[in-house]
Amino acid sequence: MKSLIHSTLIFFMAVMLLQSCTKVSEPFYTVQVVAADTNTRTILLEDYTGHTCVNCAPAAKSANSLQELYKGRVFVIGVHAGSFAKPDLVHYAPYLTADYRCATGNEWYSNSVFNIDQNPKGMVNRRPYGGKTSFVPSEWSNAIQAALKLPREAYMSVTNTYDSQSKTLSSKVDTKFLIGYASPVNLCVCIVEDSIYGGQENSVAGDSIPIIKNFRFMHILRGSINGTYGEQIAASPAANAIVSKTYSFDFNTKTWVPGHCSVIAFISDAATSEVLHVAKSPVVKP
Amino acid sequence: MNKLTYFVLGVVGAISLFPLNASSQDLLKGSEVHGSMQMDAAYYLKDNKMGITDSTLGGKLIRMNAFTEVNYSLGNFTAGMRFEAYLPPLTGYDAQYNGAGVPYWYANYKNDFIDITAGNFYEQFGNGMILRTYQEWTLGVDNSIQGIRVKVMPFKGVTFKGVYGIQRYYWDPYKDYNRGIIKGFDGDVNLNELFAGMADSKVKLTLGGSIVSDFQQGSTKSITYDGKLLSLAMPENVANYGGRFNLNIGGFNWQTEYAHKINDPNARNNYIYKGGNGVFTNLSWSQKGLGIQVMSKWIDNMSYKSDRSVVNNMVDINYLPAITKQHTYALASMYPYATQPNGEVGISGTVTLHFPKNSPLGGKTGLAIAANFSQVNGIKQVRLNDSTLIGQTGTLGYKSTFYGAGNQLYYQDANLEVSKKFSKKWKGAFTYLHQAYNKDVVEGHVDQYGIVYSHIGVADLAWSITPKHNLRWELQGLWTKQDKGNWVAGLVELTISPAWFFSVMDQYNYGNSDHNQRLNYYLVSAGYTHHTSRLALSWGRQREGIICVGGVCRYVPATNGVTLTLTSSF
Repeated sequence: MKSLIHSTLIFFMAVMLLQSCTKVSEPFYTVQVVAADTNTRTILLEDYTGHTCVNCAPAAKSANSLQELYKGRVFVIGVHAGSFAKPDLVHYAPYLTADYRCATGNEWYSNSVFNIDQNPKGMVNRRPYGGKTSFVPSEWSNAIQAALKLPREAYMSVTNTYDSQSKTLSSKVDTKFLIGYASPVNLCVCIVEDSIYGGQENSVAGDSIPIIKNFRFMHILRGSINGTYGEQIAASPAANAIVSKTYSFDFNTKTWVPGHCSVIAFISDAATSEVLHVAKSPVVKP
Repeated sequence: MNKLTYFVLGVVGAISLFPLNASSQDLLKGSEVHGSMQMDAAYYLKDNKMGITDSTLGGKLIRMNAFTEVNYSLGNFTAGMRFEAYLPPLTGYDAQYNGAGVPYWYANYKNDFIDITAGNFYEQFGNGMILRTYQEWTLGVDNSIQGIRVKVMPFKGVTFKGVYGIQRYYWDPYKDYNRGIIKGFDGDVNLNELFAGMADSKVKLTLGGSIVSDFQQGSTKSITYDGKLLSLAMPENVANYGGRFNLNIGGFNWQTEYAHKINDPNARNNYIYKGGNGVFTNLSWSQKGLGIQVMSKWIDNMSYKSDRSVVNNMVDINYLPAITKQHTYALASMYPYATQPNGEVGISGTVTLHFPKNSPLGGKTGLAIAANFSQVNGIKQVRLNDSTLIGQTGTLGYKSTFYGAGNQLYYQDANLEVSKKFSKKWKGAFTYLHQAYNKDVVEGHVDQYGIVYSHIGVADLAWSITPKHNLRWELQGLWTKQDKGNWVAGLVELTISPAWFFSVMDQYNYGNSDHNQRLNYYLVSAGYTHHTSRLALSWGRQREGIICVGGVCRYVPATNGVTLTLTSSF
């Protein structure tokens, strides 16, 4: 009996040792070419970030790169929330004194289902990937590729009309469902702003350490026009159902630059928050 | 239910059939049930001065962490389970714990030759640099393996262990290879027990070796770098292996372990392909009244997890031993050291002296002195070439030499503790510490806080008023020009044996450069013990900081509120 057990153990050890190592040799990577197929669902990438987070600069750059690489299919929202997004009046003054947080971002950050427990962290269509709803930047591109393989649920368009005299925006969001959807669907309409320059702490070589004094923040979330999680636009939309909504927004009380702002609209499953489709349009036509 | 669970249940069933030749009454005869439970519940209060608002509390003012563990044994058979509930988790614990369930269960059968566990188990090979799974309630860490463990003792002094399974990740079920599959083997030989001729030798020698492999599905991984989308070639099987010895001659003991990990690009090391290395050595000598211990370690790229995308304390396969002293006094533990798995080199030494009663230094009641010093630096990293940055994704990362130390100080701690019994009723312990704490490295900042140099003094006095009534005082001070400046703390604790204790504590940050933050962190506590059960209630403030156990740390946010702790065992 003992010799049988010994033999079995030695056999399993041998098998395990033979299969225990995967040694990778150079080159360790190849540069991927992104297919230009645009007939897929679009992706919302939320980058939860903060200007005192030392790993957030490369994460923001990674998000920008993904938006560029998947042009027209991936849209980024930079959500400044949490302790790393608080203004810092003490260190590196005055570079970290700005406050990019907003009520919508703070609510999303506190959503326990999203589980934003650190910065940088992100969500791809608020859809679990690898068992996690939110994950570190190194997972974003794989999660995007997985989400892009899903069938397209809808067409969306955002048509903005900005009156520079009254400084008001009228934003019309049209959604056409391509296939029926059995659950309630929410529409959330947000404003993001590009090209805001300020200090960003940084720990990653290749850029200024410990702070990038003139960091260009892109797609900063300024808020939602129609509520933190939007509003329900359909209880169980049928195939080819069309929903049109128009919203107005007053820029008079805001210090934002309308020419740097865009409207990002996305529809999501009201129960799971999973984003089904996204569309983006600049506030002011270029 | 996945295949692995069916397999595990099958093995559990098979094991449970071992004693079937007995009747049902015999089956229960001699069986024992033991268990333990703990509940930590809190009611949090808003505190504007501490920056605690509804928003920071997530609107959830009442929170609770609790567990109950039950173990059943009958002869050679043991089975058990642990129920856990985080409804929702206390602040500072990961929100992914939110929920309740049974994350830990096992069945075990063992005799002199074999020891089989099916289900969840905790295991350690050597010092843990190759494999250590453990649970630490205080930190919210549980990286137990669910699967099979077999230990075989074929000869006296020889132990082989094999493990095969997947690790716990909060409440996430294992499916579709969402985390790695761990296979491990460990052999341990005690030469003095194996060879009869060495049985009585003063030289005691134990040799050991381990290998662990972690399989994670996916031979490529997409990642953006410098505006490009890179497809990284990923090693699906990452092995970590090494050897160790433990030599004992009289009062002298020397244990050393070396571990090497093959290429393991992961989120913690920024996806570099350099192999990892770790050395830990511990030399000690003792005789009556004197003990000396020297420890050293060198760690280079040794984070080893069963999910390469995880960067927090979960799914760690290995454990990197700590060499710095773990302090218990409030101000002495304000700046604890957290192990840096990407690279660190350190040394520590401890001398303990005990002067007996009626000796020149010991006086009538004796005297104990313990001196300890530890220092940890970063390792020396050299660029691969002029065009590659240190730690650049998709490269070998950097070059390092064996035990090469860098100039950057991570942590230093020199402390002296004198313990003296003054009379039958009075005793005291007096401690002085000087610490240098690289707040940037330990807490993940860059050139923001620098090194915090602090002097700390602690006086701990105990008075035995009557055999049942004991009173204890602590007076502590921490002086630093950096970070939040100077602190003073005091504690008074009354114990009425065997049931009651009452304590009042305050930590005052009188030296904070921000006058609005010169706060008192008061805490009033009371507790009652009945046999093996203990109930404790406290009210007050908890300051923000990090707590560490064995070099593994957790961030603790500032809180104000009422805390209830109930522990019991049976």
